[in-house]
Amino acid sequence: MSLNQFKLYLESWQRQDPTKYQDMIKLLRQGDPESYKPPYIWLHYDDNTTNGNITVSRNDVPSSISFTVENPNSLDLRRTLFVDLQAKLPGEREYHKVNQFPHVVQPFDYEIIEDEGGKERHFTSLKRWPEITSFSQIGGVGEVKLRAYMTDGTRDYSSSSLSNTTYPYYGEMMINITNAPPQLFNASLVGPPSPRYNDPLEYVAEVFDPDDDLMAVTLHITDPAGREVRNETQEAKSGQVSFKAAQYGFFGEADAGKNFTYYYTVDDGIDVTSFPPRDNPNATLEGPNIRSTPKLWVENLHVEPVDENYYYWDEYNFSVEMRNQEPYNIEIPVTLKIKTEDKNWKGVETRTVTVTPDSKRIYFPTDDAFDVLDRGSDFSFRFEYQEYDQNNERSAEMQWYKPLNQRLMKYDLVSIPIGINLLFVLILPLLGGIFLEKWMGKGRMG
Amino acid sequence: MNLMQVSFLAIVMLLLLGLVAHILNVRRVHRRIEMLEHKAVPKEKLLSDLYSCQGSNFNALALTAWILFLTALSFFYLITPELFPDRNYFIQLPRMASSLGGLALFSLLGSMMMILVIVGSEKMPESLQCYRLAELYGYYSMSRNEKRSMIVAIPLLWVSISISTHMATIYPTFLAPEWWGAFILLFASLLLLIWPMTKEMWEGRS
Repeated sequence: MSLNQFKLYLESWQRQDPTKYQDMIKLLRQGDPESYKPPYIWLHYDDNTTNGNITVSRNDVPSSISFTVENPNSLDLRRTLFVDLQAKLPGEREYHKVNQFPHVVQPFDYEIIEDEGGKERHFTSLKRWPEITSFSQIGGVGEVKLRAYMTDGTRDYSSSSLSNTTYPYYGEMMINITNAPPQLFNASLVGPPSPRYNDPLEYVAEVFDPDDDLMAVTLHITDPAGREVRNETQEAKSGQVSFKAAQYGFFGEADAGKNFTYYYTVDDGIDVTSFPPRDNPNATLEGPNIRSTPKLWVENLHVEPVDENYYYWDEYNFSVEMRNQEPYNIEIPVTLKIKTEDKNWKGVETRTVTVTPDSKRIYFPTDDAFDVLDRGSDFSFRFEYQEYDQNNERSAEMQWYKPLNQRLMKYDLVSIPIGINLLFVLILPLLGGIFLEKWMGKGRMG
Repeated sequence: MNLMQVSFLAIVMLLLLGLVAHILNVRRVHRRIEMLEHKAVPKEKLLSDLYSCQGSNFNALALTAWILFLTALSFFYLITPELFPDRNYFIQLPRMASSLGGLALFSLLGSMMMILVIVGSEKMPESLQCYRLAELYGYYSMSRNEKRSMIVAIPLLWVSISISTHMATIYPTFLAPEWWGAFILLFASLLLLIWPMTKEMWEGRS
């Protein structure tokens, strides 16, 4: 049939059978661009929600967020649709695209769903956004609104413009995003038990953020009073962090002899958490207790009595070898103390001595070390000094297991002191008797 | 009870014997005088009449002997720690005891104590004047020889003190003969000092 013949038929049907003519015209107009109808888009979420509101942690994956497009156009009129997921973040006014690349819905990419009874047919397409893995990048917590946004190249369509939606279709979804605070475990200080300030020390801990955020881990070093003296920060993902004291120069010579404590704070950008918790400011981790830097080397304590019988009245020559471990001389007070079975440490003598880098024996001769009460006793002696020695002590002592002699008196009977004493023992009573008689006169005759 | 304690007890008993003898002697004389007089005689008057001076030299030496006795007793029992391990001179006054003049000072202490006792006994009332140490021998008739014998106590006590001193110088070595020597001299001296009382008690017992 030629076009002219078809035209003549139409004019004839218009006159003779107007109903069929109208059906024909309708049929002919189905491919007309002017009859293009707008598609509809909804968010599709088939997990449990409360009216489209869900609460997730920042790194939880809202796995089943999808969109559904219904396209009322016939295949030849359908256009390719580009769909984005848009989010309005807490505190913001505008929506921003969440996915990097839009979802594409091709004209043939629909399935036919018939109404009950098969009277109407709907062309729908359901797709997910697999690239949505978390909301960790939003850098905050709060309510996030989601919507689907679609364009067919000519017009844009938004799911939020739809109202009266029902489960599982939503024009707009509200997601309450929460933050899981970071955690820290197994904090320890690796190093010698009583380190020097320059010994290798390493603060080690394991950090973990449930949201897999990058964390700022700060080590706070405090003095025993709880005052912070140093802090250093490292950025870390979940895993082990370590702070090497030597690398950061935490401790110097001036810290020798001091006891430190420490604690951590971990910041995931939203929450800052302390370990141990700072509810109690005294809750800290112990260490390190820095050893005092020894300057002295002390050895070979010795005592030499003048008499080998170890009488308490004898002179004893106590001595000790000392040297300065630094290459210069120092003058320090050294105190000799002695302890016996009945008496606790008693200071005998304090003397300022010059300690040189070369080992030198220092003598403390004394005849005042013991008294008569120490007879028969073992004794110990100790040198006390103000600098630390190689054992990190400020004293060195020695137990002498040879007991002192039991003898009471220093002099023999036949000696000048005893002789003079005995003379007095005779004279004093005689003088007493004469004095009393002279004073009282009891024996005078008549 | 060890030997040291027994010896100390013996000394104390001997002292008590002297005291008891003296008390009994005075009472017996008082009783006999009253029997002879057939009337009550006040004790004060009796003691005043009974007292006779023995001479200043003797009295001074007698007092010296008593002072020396207390000193010798102290040297024998208080220098070494056998009898009083925690109460002896060297434990109580260690610095003084071990000083150069420790023995002389100890002697001074003993003498002062005895002088105080003698002076203190002077405060006794007239009815008890017979117990004044300075008048002790005035109630007894003593011959010159008896006085001489009693005064021998002084050198005996001095020898005892010397032996005690030697025992201290050699302590902890213990020489039993030495100890016995010092003790016997001390005991004998005390016997001499109380001899007039005990003799009077013995002779006047009937």
